[in-house]
Amino acid sequence: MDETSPSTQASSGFHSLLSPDGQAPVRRAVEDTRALFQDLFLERIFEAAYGSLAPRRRSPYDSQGPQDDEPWRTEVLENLRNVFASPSSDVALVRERQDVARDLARDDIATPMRRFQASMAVMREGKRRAHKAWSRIEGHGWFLDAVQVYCHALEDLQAGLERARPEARTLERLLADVSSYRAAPEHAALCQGVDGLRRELDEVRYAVRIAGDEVSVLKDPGSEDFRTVVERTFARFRRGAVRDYRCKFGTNEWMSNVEANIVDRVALLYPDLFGRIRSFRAEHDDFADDRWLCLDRELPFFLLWSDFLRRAAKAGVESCLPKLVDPASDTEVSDACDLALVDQALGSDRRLVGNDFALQGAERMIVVTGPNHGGKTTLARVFGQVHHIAGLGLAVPARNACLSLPDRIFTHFERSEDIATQRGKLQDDLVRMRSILDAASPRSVIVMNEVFSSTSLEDAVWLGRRVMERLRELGCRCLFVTFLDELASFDSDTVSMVALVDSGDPTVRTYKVIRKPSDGKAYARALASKYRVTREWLLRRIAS
Amino acid sequence: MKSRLLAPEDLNEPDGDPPVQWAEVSSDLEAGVLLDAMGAGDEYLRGACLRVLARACGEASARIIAYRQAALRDALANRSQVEAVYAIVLEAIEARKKNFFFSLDSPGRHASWTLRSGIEITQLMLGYLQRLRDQAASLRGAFASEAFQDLFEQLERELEDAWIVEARTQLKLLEFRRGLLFGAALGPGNRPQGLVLYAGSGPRARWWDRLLRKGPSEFSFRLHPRDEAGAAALSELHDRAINEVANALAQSADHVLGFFQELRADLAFYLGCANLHHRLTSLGVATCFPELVEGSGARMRASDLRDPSLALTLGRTPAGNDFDLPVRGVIVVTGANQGGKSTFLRSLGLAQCMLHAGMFVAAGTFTGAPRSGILTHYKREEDASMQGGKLDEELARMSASVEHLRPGSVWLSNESFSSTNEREGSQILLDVVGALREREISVWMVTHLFDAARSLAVGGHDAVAFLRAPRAAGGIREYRLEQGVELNTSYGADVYAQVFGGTGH
Repeated sequence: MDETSPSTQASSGFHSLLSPDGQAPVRRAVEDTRALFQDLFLERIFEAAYGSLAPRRRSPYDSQGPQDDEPWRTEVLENLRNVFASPSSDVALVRERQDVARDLARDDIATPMRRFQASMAVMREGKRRAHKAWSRIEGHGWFLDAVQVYCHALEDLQAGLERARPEARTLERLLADVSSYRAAPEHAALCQGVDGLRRELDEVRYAVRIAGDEVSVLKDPGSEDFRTVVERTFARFRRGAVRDYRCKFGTNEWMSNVEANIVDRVALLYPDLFGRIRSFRAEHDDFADDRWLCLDRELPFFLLWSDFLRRAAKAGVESCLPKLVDPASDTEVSDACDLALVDQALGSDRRLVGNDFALQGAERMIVVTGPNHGGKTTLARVFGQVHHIAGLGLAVPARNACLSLPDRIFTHFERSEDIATQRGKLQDDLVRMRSILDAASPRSVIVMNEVFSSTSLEDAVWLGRRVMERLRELGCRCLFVTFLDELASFDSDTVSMVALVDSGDPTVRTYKVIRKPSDGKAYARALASKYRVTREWLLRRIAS
Repeated sequence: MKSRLLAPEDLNEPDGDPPVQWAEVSSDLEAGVLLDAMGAGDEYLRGACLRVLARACGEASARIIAYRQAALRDALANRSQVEAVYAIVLEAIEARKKNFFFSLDSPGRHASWTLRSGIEITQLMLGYLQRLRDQAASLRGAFASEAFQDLFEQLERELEDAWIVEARTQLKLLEFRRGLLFGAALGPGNRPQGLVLYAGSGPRARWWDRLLRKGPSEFSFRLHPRDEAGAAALSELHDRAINEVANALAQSADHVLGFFQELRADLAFYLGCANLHHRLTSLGVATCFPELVEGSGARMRASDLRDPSLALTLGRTPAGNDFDLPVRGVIVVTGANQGGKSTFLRSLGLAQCMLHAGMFVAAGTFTGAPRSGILTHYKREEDASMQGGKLDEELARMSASVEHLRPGSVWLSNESFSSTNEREGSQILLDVVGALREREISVWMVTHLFDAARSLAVGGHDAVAFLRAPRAAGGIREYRLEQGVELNTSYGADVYAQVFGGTGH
């Protein structure tokens, strides 16, 4: 599929990192994804990975420092949220994104890209300030900075990519487009113009005299720094470090009127230079090309994700780009971790426990049983997360992953906040189940967590079997978490997984969930042993 | 300019924390009593002496010891002159504190305040420097030590009249009577940046030159009298221009102050020593400057070595001890309880510390060697909160002090490892002593672990010397040790009898 000839595409140039050929994945309505985000903790993962783009909370008294470009960040974040909520089942699109992700995970490509982002942030700030500055001379200064940063950013990006030789088609196109853009005479004129003016500005020297309320600007007579003179006089007393008595001057956001008046007069000392700056600015007011601005907005999707996975690696999470196979093939995922727990684990210096899951041959259903707090729900989330993230074209939190892209992921988790009558709740559960079964296709993934806990054991087993029969007919991949051992042996193609218990001390959580027949009594036995109330213990302790 | 009264120029000890073992050494040897006598009620003197003494439990240098001994001889012979110099130094420091506490130490947001204070303080300090120099000139002949000679010579050389005149001229210029002039460039956003302040206010075009468009081209503006924002901005620009020079001046004032403080700390040590000398002499305790020996076969000799802190506490002269022992090796003190063992060990430890510090020691004569560190390991008082963990605690402390033991150190041990049974304790102690000996660390110890003492005695090492606390007739202890090993148990029965009456044996 990757070998489609360029001529059949909308355009062979660079458009976007996310939808290289302009065909973006279908975006689902917010209502459809809300349950998914909540149950699989995708919202938490999104926040953990992309939260650094969120508007910074600032105290109302904090007026110092440049205002960061919040509108831009908000826009980018919203865009990323949409992308993150819209996994694709289009293998070609996802593979192309994986190629981009693979390239961007390389340091030799990520580094120039990050430099590019940093430069673009400086450029945006420069443009904003150039526009808002009250002093014309100040505005000129910021404008030249912005242009210069822009020119250097592109030069650096081209050099970086040329050195690194990206393999993704999208990045190859990007490099080709940047190169031809930079080779064009318009861009060359822009760069030369700005560098020349900047150089001349850097050489400008003048002197200021303050005498009472009169301020004079004159050519710099040049003389020795008074500070040096004083230091020399007292050098004989110099000893170790002493306090720094320099006052800290806050960087005011804008020039004061006094400074503005001074630089206006500096412009009078150098009339020719400032005349040329004025006309340069008029000529190049809108200098930045949309394609690079788009690149800048989309890079965080991949780069912040790599950052997040690098952080996750410290908590023991391995990651990989999943191998995409067709729906009939086996699903194999090893050492998968719940990304939503990464920040928590890092905070308490814990390592996350990874688990394997697989669906081989005719297997379609995994039933997870075992003691509470043993990692069952976590495994359920991981199962969903891995499929979701795979559809985004990003690396998944597993050592190895081989899976087919689902057309949709459905979740049915118990909602503790639904306080209704028992019957109402069961009914509600079944209604939700029904709508899932109606919407699901053989290519879907379904994750269910303790669904029928609101009814009697007998009912629950019976209902569970019914639902499983329906699902077997449908043939979609599912994972159930349940306390019903009976469901684990539903049929020979049902995979039973059990949350393990530490045999020595049953109160220690292992969070390990492995493939084995369900045995609901193991935990109780271990606990009994700990408190010496097993049969053997009781016989021994109670004197005959 | 540096005060180098404590060490010659090339050997100046680095500032910083004292050796970590100091906390234990000082409490085990009861150095506090000594320091109280040195301070004689003056907290500052006490602190200055403490800093010197604390360093003394680290590595000693024979050259520094000799340097300080000479200076201390000068100070003892010319105590009132040293006090006079100290008085000037103290006055300078106090004047700086009193008059300018708020202005320099809370510079706030205004460089002009810093500059103003800097000028005044510097003017004041110049006066004190001049007085110090004149005082030094009158004292030169009376002092023979390298340390004091160096100080007086520096004062006269560095503070000659021409320099003082030059400094005062600069202070005048810093008042900027005719306005100030600074060079600048354009920074980010074309803001004035890279301000460089010049002395003076620069060339000025006069009004007729301006009229005739002659002279330097110059563009001026005047602030509107009601432009308050402008006035604030102008004053900030003014402050930015003088920021560096104000800082340079304030820092220079600090450096001058630093010199006074250094000098004060150094002089304080010698005055503290003089206080201690006076106290001990008036109690009739003999003092002497120790003679230094070095080399593997060197011997440590003393006559009438006393524990100065015991003398100060009792207010009288305690019994002294004479000995002739190898510098390197093991000294084992055994014998009766309250037989003066701990006192002896402390007198030895304090003498070693005082020797390291370059002080006199409380003995009629004393010969000793500089060592590469002094560490102590004393039995700790029972701690009610700790059950059964005493040996753990002892071993943990031992393990901590091992970090700081080096070949050539001295390890003073008072009843170490006696918190467990004798067999275990002896074994540990023997292991420790054996290892330390192998590492050429001297061990001076008091022990009740006769098992260990016996093994050391039987071993027949000539580098192991034994002293014992004798038992005097009638149970009254004479605190004088004699050569030999005491291998019997302690004299608990005696003490019991003393306390409860009746015949002990």
